[in-house]
Amino acid sequence: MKVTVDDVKKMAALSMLNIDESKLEEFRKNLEAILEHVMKLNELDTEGIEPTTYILDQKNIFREDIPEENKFDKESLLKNAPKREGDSFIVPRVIE
Amino acid sequence: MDLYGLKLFEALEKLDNKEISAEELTSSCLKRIREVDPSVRALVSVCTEMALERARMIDDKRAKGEPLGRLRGIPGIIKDCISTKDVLSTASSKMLYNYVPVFDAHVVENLERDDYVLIAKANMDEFAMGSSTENSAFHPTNNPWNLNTVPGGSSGGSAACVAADEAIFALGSDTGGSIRQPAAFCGVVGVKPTYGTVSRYGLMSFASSLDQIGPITKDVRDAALLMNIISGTDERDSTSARMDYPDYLDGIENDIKGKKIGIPKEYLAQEMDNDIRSSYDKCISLLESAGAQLVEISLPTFDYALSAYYIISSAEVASNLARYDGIRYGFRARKYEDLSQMYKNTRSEGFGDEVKRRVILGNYVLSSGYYDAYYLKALKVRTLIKNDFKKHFDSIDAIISPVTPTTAFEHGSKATPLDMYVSDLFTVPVNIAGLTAMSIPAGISGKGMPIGVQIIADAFKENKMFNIAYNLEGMLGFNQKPAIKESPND
Repeated sequence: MKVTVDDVKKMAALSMLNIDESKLEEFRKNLEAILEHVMKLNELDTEGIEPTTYILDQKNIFREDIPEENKFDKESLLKNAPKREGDSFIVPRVIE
Repeated sequence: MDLYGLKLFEALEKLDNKEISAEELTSSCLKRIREVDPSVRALVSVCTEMALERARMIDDKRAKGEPLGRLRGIPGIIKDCISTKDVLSTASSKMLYNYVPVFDAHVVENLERDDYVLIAKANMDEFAMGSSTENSAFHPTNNPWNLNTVPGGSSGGSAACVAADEAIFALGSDTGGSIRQPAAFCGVVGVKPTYGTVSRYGLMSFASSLDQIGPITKDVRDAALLMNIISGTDERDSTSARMDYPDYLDGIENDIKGKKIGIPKEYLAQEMDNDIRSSYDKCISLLESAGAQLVEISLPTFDYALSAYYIISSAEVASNLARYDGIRYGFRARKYEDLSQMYKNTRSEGFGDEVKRRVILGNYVLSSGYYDAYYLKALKVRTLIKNDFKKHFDSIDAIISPVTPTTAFEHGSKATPLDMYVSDLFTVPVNIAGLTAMSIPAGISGKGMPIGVQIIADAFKENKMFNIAYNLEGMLGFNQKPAIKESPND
């Protein structure tokens, strides 16, 4: 599976990442090598096989919709914020 | 003997007899950390004051005759991707360089309830991605047996600190071998419980369908006790198994006469160090001498687990790491002009290369046009691998295999990411197939490095695994400790 530098740039953008120009070729090479390696899976016939998305048998774990007491105070939840003002997280303008 | 050298049950006995106090035990480990961690560098942060305070409080409870938990003063070290309230938890990433959780992970709550003493947080590969701890954003960890080599990863710090006696036990996490491989490299015991056995609440997610927290200890019984403490249904984790949990110490000392243990022939066809092969052969002989029946089994899809793993885990981690956006906690870039730049700059500066690589790979295999060929294919192969193993467990009690193809390698010796990935060959199938496995020390190589052996059991059959491991451990009689040099060049 060939991977181009353009592919890397596109995928990085989708992942909300910048890759340094100087590292692009290295990333491209490594990604290509990994994707080549995993092509190995095509050696296996998976016709009619169900995908395993989840390894346990249990499903649909629900709980009763009962409100519980909030264990955390606002202050402790906000204290790790890189930028805050009062009770709000400050972010760059979202809407032009 | 210095107190820090004690194993868990030994320490409990001395505590109960009032031969030693919790404060003395904790102080001994803290002293040991000061002595050897400058060379081993297993830790991200040390909680000296908090630990001593806690130890004193436990001694106080003891003096007053108050009831005490199952750990009653035993010092432990926790991998830094597990949230500890009010204590820095970084996942060894710049992204969380200043993150102090407001809550304890479920496993930490359980340990607290049983009166352990947190003495430090362990270094790791960033966000658990790696097999050498070289991907830590802070510093690499050195294998106590040879400081020029890696401790393994991603729970390298956790394994190294137990090997170096910096604590009586540690917790690590295992997604593709991240407890078992470092345990093997460092000559200690490491357990990956069946997926669902230990709550992931408070574990910073890497791959949600594969991650499990597990104990790293000085012997098998210690690990079984810790399993009793950290396992259990947690309502806050919808992937936590809703079932009755056994006492993992139950039956551990039974003999293994008549136990059927599988020798996986495709595993043995792989290249591995001669020392590792002979060590494995020795384990087979010992098990036979104890009356177990060793049978050759075939796992034709085992070799595909690695490819399935790198697709599935990368896809899952790409989604899981989307939350690191510089808004609610952690690192935020200084320079940006709009929201999109803020996200990109924050994540690009906050994440290391290996993390970026896997996130990009993950989004690639999930993207339209590639989803079927890669991700869906990998999920179907996962079914095949799971079925391959399950088939055998109808008639056998466990499988025995090597843990790694080599002993601990030198820092910087893996030229490409792929070179690093293929060393997970023997451990990854266990996570993919949803089984449980553990690594115990089996011997020392010609170059003086630890060799591990892996015991694999069917899902939720940890008791069988512990029983066989306990017996094998007894017969192997491994009791070596690393002689920790002051610097790699000594």
